[in-house]
Order: sequence, then C-alpha cells, then structure tokens
Amino acid sequence: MASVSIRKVYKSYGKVQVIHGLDLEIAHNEFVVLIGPSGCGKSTMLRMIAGLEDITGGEIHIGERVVNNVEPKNRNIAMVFQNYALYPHMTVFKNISFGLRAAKLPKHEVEKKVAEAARILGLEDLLLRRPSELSGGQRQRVSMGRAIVRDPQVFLFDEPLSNLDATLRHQMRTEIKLLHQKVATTIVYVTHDQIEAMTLADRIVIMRDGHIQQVGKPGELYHNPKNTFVAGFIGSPKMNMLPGEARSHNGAPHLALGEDLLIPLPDRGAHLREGQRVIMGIRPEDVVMVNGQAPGANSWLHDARINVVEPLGSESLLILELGGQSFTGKCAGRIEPAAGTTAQFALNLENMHLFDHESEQAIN
Amino acid sequence: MSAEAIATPLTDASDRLSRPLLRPSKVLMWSVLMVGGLLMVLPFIFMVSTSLKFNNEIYELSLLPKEPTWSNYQFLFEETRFFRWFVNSLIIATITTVSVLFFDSLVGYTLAKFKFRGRIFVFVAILSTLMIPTEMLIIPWFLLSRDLGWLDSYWGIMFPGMMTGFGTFLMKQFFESVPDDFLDAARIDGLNEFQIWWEVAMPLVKPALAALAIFIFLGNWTAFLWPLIVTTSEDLYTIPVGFAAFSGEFTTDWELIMTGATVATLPTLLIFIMFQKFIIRGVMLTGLKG
Ligand SMILES: Nc1ncnc2c1ncn2[C@@H]1O[C@H](COP(=O)(O)OP(=O)(O)OP(=O)(O)O)[C@@H](O)[C@H]1O
Ligand SMILES: [Mg+2]
Repeated sequence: MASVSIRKVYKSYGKVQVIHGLDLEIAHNEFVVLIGPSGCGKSTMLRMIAGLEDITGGEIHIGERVVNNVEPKNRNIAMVFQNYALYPHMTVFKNISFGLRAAKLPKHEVEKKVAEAARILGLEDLLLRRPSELSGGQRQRVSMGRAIVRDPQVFLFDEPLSNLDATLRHQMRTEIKLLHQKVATTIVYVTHDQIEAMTLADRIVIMRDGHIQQVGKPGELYHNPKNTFVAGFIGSPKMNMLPGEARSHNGAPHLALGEDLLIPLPDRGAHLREGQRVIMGIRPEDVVMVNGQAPGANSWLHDARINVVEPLGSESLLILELGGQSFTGKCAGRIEPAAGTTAQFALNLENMHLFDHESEQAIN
Repeated sequence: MSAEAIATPLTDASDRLSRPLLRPSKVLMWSVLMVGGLLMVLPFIFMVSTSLKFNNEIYELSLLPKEPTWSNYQFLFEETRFFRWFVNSLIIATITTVSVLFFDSLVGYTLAKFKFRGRIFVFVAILSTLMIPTEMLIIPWFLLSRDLGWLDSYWGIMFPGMMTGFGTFLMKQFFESVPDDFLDAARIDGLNEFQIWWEVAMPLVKPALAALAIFIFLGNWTAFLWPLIVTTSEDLYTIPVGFAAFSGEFTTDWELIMTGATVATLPTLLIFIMFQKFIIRGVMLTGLKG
C-alpha cells in the first residue's frame, strides 16, 4: 500500500508541452480515475507514474520515495494495458508468471502466487491456454492476474475495458471493483468512459489539455461542476447549457434566454448584475414532464413542444422546444408521449447551474 | 465448403450426397495445379535422374536412366573434394545466417523501437546500401581483404554477408508492428532491454525471422562470384565454386554437376521444410488483438 503524490509535474515531447504542472495527491488504497477527452494526457500521466515515460519537470512520489529516476520494475507498480499486452507465444500460466520468473523467484513460490491470482480471477481452468484461445474478458482477467502476482503497491490501468463489448464491460467493471476490495491497493485508472469513472472511482480527476479541471467524488463532480467543461463532460445525457442574460423582472432576478424565455433565478443567482451574461445549466432529470401528479414545490412550469422521443424503457429522453430554446428532458417510461405534441414541463430550478459567460467558471 | 453452404442454404444432406463427386470446375482446377506442379518439379527430376546415369546417356532426355548407377555419387565423394566443399558451404551459410538473424534483427529492433538522435540518418544509410550492386562492391571487398589478410579464408568469404541492409530493413518493418505495450509490460515485469528484445520481441517476429533465414541461407548456399574471387585453395571452395571446376573449357561433366546439385539440394530442402513450419506456426501464434 502506498500513496502517490504528483507535484508540479510537467511533460514535454520535444518542444510541445502536454502536461502543464499537474498536482495530485492520491491516498493509500484510494481508487482514482483519470478521465478526459482523447489527447488530454491521461495515458502520459499514467505512464510517468509507471516510469515508462520520463518526467520533464516536477516530482512523483510513491509512498515515501521520489521515483523520478527509479526503473519501472522497482517502483512497486503493476500496469494493465488497453490491448492486454499478453505475450501470444506463452500460455496463460507463463504470461502471469513472466515477471516472477524474470525475478528468479523459486518455482514453488511462483506456482503459489499464480494459483492465488488464478483463484481470485477465476482463471484456474485456463492456465494452459494461449491468449489466442481466450475471450476478450478472459484476456483482460489474465492481464490483471499478471498485475496481481507482482503484489504491487499501486495498480495502474489504462483503459482496460475499452476493447470489450458493453455487457462484458459492465461485468468486468464489477470485477475490478471487487478486486479492489480483495487486494487492497491504490489504483490509478484511466478511462474515457464516464460511467466507468462514476461507478468505480473514489475520486475522479477530470483532465483537459494537460490541465486538471476538477478533482472530486463522483457525486461532487456531478452536482457541483466547477466549470462548463466538467458540467458537459460528466453526465449522460449531457446537461442542457444555454447562454442567457440576467434581467430583473417585476423586481425579481430573472434569466433571459433568447427572445422569449424568462426564467426566475434561484437565490444563488440573486447577486448577478443586470445584463450580466451567463451560461445556465440544467440536467435533463431536472426538466420533467408533468403528467397528472403535482410537480415539486420549487418547480417552475412551462409548456414545451416534444420534438423527439427516445424511449429507454424505464424512462424516455425528450428533445424539447421550450420557449424557443432546445432542451433535453425526461419522462417516466410508461408515459409514452407522441412526438409533435405539447406538454407541460417542470424545471427544478434549485438544481440550476450558473457559469460565467467568459471564464466558463461556476458562479456561486 | 462453407462458401457453398452459404450460397445454397436450402440444400439438405441427401442432396449433397447425390451430387457428383468430381465436378468439372474441380477437375479443371486440379488439372491446372497438377500441370503447374509437374512443370516445377521436372527440372528437379531431371537433375536426380541425370545423377543416376552414365556419362554416355546424359544427352538423352529420358526421365528414367537405362542403367541406374551410384557411380557418380561414388566418384563425387571419393575422387573429388566435394565433401569438403559441402562442409564449407554448410559452415559458411550457417554462420552467416545466424549472424544475419542476430544482428539484423538487433539493429532493426533498435531502429524500430528506440528514438535517438541520428536514427533516421542511420536508417537511410543502411537502406542506401541496398542500392549498390554486388558487382560494384567486389573490388573494394577484395582490396580490403587483401590489406587485412583475409584472402583465402572462411572469414574472407563470409564477412560481406554477416549483416545485410535488406534484413535490417525487413526486421525493422516487422518490429514496428509489435505493439509497444508488449515491451512496456515486459519493462514493468523487470526485464532489461536486451531480454525484452530476445524474450518478447523476437518470438513475435518468428515468421519474419524464418523468411529471412531461408532467404539468407539460400543466398549464401548458392553464392558464387565473391567466394570464387576470394578463395584460391581448393580446400576453401564452396559448392558452386567447386562445380565451376567441373565445367572445363572443352567438356562439362554434367552427370557430376547434377550429382553434386542433388546432394546440394538436400540441406536447402531441409532448411525450407524446417522453417516453413515456423512460418505457418508463427502466423497462427501472432494472434495479436488490437
Ligand atoms: N511519444 C509521443 N510523442 C509526441 N507526442 C506525444 C507522444 N505521446 C503522446 N503525445 C501527445 O501527448 C498528448 C497526450 O497524449 P496521451 O496519450 O496521454 O492522451 P490520452 O489522454 O491518453 O488520450 P487517449 O484517450 O486518446 O488515450 C497528445 O496530444 C499526444 O499527441
Ligand atoms: Mg490514452
């Protein structure tokens, strides 16, 4: 077990800087997920922790130790790769034990460790097969086995599930979570799948262009995004985000969206200047079709035209035109409204997010 | 068969049984293949049959010798230095092949998987050697060998072929297709760079190694010009150089040449069978999933 601390880390390839002074403290036993769009530097960061990539500036500590100049094999880490990186010419047993054999561990100890890992991952019957004779999920389990037998202080995962189909991905997600409970270690996990991030992480780190945008518990990022990028990145379907202007109306602060829509601001927005330009964010689950039952106390009601209905079973997504603006909303799955009809919607304005128009930072 | 099954999904088993076993298209295909195959092996058969003929029969184009005889083989091994040449060829082809496999793949790997200053320059320099024909190199090689005292020695015969630009290029291309993750995984597993090359990367390019081995072995086995120039003593001749001696100004001992050629084919055949298995297995093994 070990903490990982990343202090003012820079990375450049030639003249191009791709990580710009990144700070991150990862506690013992913590499951941290790095997430961000393609090319934002997640893999680079992970590979610097692993020692596969030089650190241009700053320090990385694993436990008490600065590891900047420590070889990967001596960092007490193990890594699981996206394409599994199983040696095709070796059996599962040989793949899992490869590092142990390279370290010249006695044979009985190698066998004991492999057996233990195989038990944890349910690979007992596959030890004599070659990787080409395994399914995608089995391959990924083998590559986790290879990581487990190293008894690492830190597990590093680089998009381990992105080659699997949806069902298998869900299953493996659960297995990784169980694994974290069984072999208590620090995990740094890279993904671009936000559901993976939300379900697995103790804390999520959202990156963009080599900068950290926000670090926090999944719920924190979801409910209190610091800026429009985080707000748009976390949550599916995406948060509705619309530019507007603060305007007082009948002596109360309102938000004008386009020509026709005037929405009362919650107390949080009371301090906005008249005419201040902001971006309003509201999640689809806070734009709900009113269907008979009484809307919540803080709801604000408005009619909207339903343009598209996307049934998901338990609920349906609705693409709406509300006061001249396009929104995504929801309704319960049994309601089945028809496209082209008009209905009343309740907007839960207490959960509204406000961002500054220029800086795109949240306004509190 | 599977293609048929798709094309006619409704035919049941009984229908398939009643179908004629030899359909015209199949017959045609097999005939063409057989004729092609025969054309390929015909020279080989002639070679073997000539080696079993007496001298007075060799200009008859019969496939079967009238009086088959082992006398040519006896003569070749007892009266000429053929056995010595055979061993020379074997030693030279084997050493150069092993050397080429080792060095070319080492350099190819380095060029494919490491970034260093001057990498492109080194690569282009190696590539450019491919554009120089052997004939142009013979004189420099000869002068070099003369000055360094390598004339008329095994080393003298072998040194130009111990590494090849072609092999380096080939191996570089193949190593480039080996995913970096394999190497990184091995780095984390604690292997040093040399071990990674030998234990992880090399097994992954076995098909290329096999192809290169066949190519280089055959090239050296049949090499003629340079061995002829660099050797003077008969004891250092390779098979092709020795054969040249059978072919005199006025007469050519075809039956002896054919006998020698028959024997000389055996190792190449062996090498081919050996490595062909490798190539096929290698292709199957490289079940890389991206
Ligand atoms: N070896 C390299 N040489 C030059 N630039 C590189 C190299 N590796 C990565 N980069 C650049 O660094 C940036 C970060 O790359 P990185 O692989 O870390 O992204 P990522 O967040 O993992 O993206 P993805 O989700 O696509 O895997 C990218 O802009 C990429 O082009
Ligand atoms: Mg990546």
